[in-house]
Amino acid sequence: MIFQARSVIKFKATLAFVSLCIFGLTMAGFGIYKANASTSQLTVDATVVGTILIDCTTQELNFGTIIPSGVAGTVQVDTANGVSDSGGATYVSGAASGACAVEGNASAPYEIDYVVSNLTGPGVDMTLTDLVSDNANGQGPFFGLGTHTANLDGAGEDAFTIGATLNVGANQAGGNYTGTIEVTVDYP
Amino acid sequence: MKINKFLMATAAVAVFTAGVLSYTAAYAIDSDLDVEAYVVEAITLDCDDVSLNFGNLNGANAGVVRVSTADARTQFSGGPNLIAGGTVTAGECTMDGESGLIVDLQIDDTTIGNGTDTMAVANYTLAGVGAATVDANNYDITLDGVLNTYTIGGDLTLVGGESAGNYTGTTTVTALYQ
Repeated sequence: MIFQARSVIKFKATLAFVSLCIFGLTMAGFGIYKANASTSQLTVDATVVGTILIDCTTQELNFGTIIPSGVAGTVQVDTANGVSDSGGATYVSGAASGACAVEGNASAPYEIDYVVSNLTGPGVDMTLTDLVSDNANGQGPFFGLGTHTANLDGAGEDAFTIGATLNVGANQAGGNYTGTIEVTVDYP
Repeated sequence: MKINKFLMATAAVAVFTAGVLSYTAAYAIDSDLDVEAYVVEAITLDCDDVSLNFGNLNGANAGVVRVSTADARTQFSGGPNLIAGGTVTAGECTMDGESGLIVDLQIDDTTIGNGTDTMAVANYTLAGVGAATVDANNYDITLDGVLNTYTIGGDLTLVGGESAGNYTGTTTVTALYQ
């Protein structure tokens, strides 16, 4: 019986995590104390914490075509493909909000955060500031970098749209500029 | 006593194993969101090298003197005002920018003076690669990505009786992408 109890402990340990194992140990001790019992039933519950995935490759954050001038300016893209400009930068066309899809456990809360890089191209790097994101499940909008908490829906899904402000320099050299926003998701 | 030791050992193994599993069960995946922008070539515009020059004129009579984009001077009306000599040139601007884009080029009316009298300059004409006239002050220029020279003619109006002297002035030329 001792070895039977030990085997139960090992079985539960390979399934689950700390709280379950404490429960298992309690039952193991009970089994040893009742060494002469003929049978006993042990209910085993386990919650396997699954993978959370994010995909941001389907729709880039695009600031479109911009006309620079001798004065620095900005182009802002919001989370719904809205665009505005200020200062010496003039937005022309072609902008779009970025998009990410998240998949994981049904109805689970999760955390999302961002690491932003400059846009590099033929001229001086252009910085990204004032990142804003919004999610389909209604916890947003979220402003800035940092860590934001959202919820997956009953199907274990969520979707994000992302905007930001691009800072265009005075006499910014013409050409294509690219960068990335690294988006990370995790369970709290 | 032996049983107790066994239980302690078992518990230690179980907790350790569970700790490893809880670490590996939840993990983060990150994804790079690409960010892109296209900055067009800024317009470069330089009108400092060749002036619009009407040459020597007789100011005694009212009239309009015209200089074409090909440096030809004519008495458009009134006069006579033309006197041989002096330099007659259309003005020149060089411009470059993003190939394929259209620029609105605006040339303001102006006056030139000798410190005593003034004369009006207006009714411009412009010639060059990709240029189309909107009106005397505004032109649409389709850029080809090459530094091109644009020549600018215009009309000088004399009211008659202007004092002798060298008349100079400037006008503002503005280029903006449509």
